Amino acid sequence: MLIDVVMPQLGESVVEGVVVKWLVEAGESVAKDQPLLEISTDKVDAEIPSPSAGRVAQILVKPGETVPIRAVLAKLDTDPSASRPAPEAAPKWDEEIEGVPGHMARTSEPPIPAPPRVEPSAPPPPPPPTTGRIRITPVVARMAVEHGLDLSKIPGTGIDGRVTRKDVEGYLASEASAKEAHSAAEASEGKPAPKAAPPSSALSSEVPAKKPKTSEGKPPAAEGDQVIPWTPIRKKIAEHMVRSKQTTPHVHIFAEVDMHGVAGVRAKAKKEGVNLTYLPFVIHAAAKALRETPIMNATVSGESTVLKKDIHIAVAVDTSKGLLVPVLRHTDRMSLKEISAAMDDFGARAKSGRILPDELSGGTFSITNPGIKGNLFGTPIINQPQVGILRLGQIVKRPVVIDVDGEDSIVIRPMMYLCCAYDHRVIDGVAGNAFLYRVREILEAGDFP
Amino acid sequence: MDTVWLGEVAYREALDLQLAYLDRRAARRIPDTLLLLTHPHVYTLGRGGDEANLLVSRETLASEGISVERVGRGGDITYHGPGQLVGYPIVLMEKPDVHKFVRSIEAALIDAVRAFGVPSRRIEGLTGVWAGERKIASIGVGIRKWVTYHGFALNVTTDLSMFRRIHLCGLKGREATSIAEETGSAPAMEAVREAVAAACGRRLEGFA
Repeated sequence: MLIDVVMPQLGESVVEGVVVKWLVEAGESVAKDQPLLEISTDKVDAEIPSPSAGRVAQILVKPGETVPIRAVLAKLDTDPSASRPAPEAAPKWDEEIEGVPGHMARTSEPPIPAPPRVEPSAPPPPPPPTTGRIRITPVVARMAVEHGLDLSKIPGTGIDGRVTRKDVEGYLASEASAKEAHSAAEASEGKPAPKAAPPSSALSSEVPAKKPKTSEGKPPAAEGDQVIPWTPIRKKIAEHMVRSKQTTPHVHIFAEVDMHGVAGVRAKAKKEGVNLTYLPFVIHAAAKALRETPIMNATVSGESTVLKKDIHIAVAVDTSKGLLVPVLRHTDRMSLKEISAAMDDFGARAKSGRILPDELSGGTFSITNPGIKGNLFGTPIINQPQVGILRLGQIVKRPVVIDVDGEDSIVIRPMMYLCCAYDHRVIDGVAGNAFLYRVREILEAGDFP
Repeated sequence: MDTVWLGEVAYREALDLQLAYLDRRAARRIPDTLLLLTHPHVYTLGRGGDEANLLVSRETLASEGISVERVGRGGDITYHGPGQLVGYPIVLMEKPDVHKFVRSIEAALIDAVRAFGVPSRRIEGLTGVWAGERKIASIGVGIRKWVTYHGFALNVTTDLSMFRRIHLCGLKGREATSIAEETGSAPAMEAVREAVAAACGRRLEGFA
């Protein structure tokens, strides 16, 4: 069957476009969504994807020609014998059809913490001569944009007359009370009070509901209090945490792990010049235990549990630049040293901000290690849509009773509380306990290849 | 919309990064993302760009370590370099409206520079943001797989003499300006970055 490839409507006010160049030739087989041509409107260039798989039967418009919307650009023969999808595009399509629901198409994968914000490595350019400069902090800049203010109109009380957060808050408060009076006067006419800034259409329905509800949508702050508006990342984390707690009945169980064996392996590695932290050992043990307890390596999709074939452990690490959750793909195939090297690599690249989003998504289980000091144990929140998470506690030397040659003896051992949270909708106590017990067993055996 | 600060990234490397983000966005694996960064000195010529608009020889530029790149975007010639905040919004357009998108970027940048005391505006028929008759931000957007890439460049403390070596965007006699030039003060890049991120978060929602 011959179908038309038409010039799409690229916007309400866009009536035509110029064909820049064809990316395919007549007679060529194309896959659905394969780019066919580039068109240009004003300064926007767009690639037009193929509406279907097939063979390009005819190209009707030459490069350089201006075409109105809905004009026919080419004819596509969709006869099955004619269509042989381009090899590189086909797998993507298969994936979407056969892919596990909730893995590929969902937008609600585990939250992707942004790579940390890092200052450019090059020194900043020297500032131009200073005359009557307005210096403001990022927080003040953000507030100004959020409220649509011109900071040069706000008297600054800071050093060198700079506008401080307090100045902006004071200004907003005075504006608000002025508006209140104004809107009271308008109330009889049924007109809403004008907002401080025109909200964008998409946000207007969403944002007010999420912000703390006060009469002016501004958190109450006493003299000297600091108001920190949530950044988009913070909002995302907040939403995710609330959603996880609301959807999942968390069960938290603890194991007390004797890290004596692990400490031995570390000491031995150190002699060989290899510095290992405790974390890679726990990751390694968890990957092994997950292979034996498939229900823990799963995601929830609607009213189904998806047991994941691959083990991709997401490791939450609090770096100096912020929380990062890099994913170690096929963790169960990695050696201890590979895990350790991968974590070091993530750490190094985090500093330059060169971590791609796919390195931060697709995890099937999570491990969190919230610093060493003062963390005896804690109860982590599950990283949705996963069903389990492990949390390392502080490693503390303690006297413990162990069996030495059939006799109870008290020895000093590095002990760690390991907490496992699991989703009780999906996992029963027996499976959860078995998993944690197995992790402990592997760590205590201290047998790391 | 997520915001990612990449620091200083070479032009080509940044293009690769954009395409990596674009692919993930097209597959709906990540949310809309705004990449913020700066580039080392570079002149870029669009597909239709006329090299005659580059007023200095390539050799002179090469001797100063400044590269000239021909890139697959629309538009003519422009300059990127230190002190200029570059933003690449990776936004999925389920129902494309490219004019609205460009206008929204303009609106976001107008909001952002207003915070620093710079009044700015659109000029009908000329894409970009203008402070008076001088251009403070240029915009050039591309779309692939119905996801946007390329984006905008806002002059914060840019060395404006770099623009005098080209006919800006192929427009003879048009001059560039910066926030520092307009206000006589040099805002911190970090502050501008936050303002731009906030403004884009508000203005560039709702295209999917």
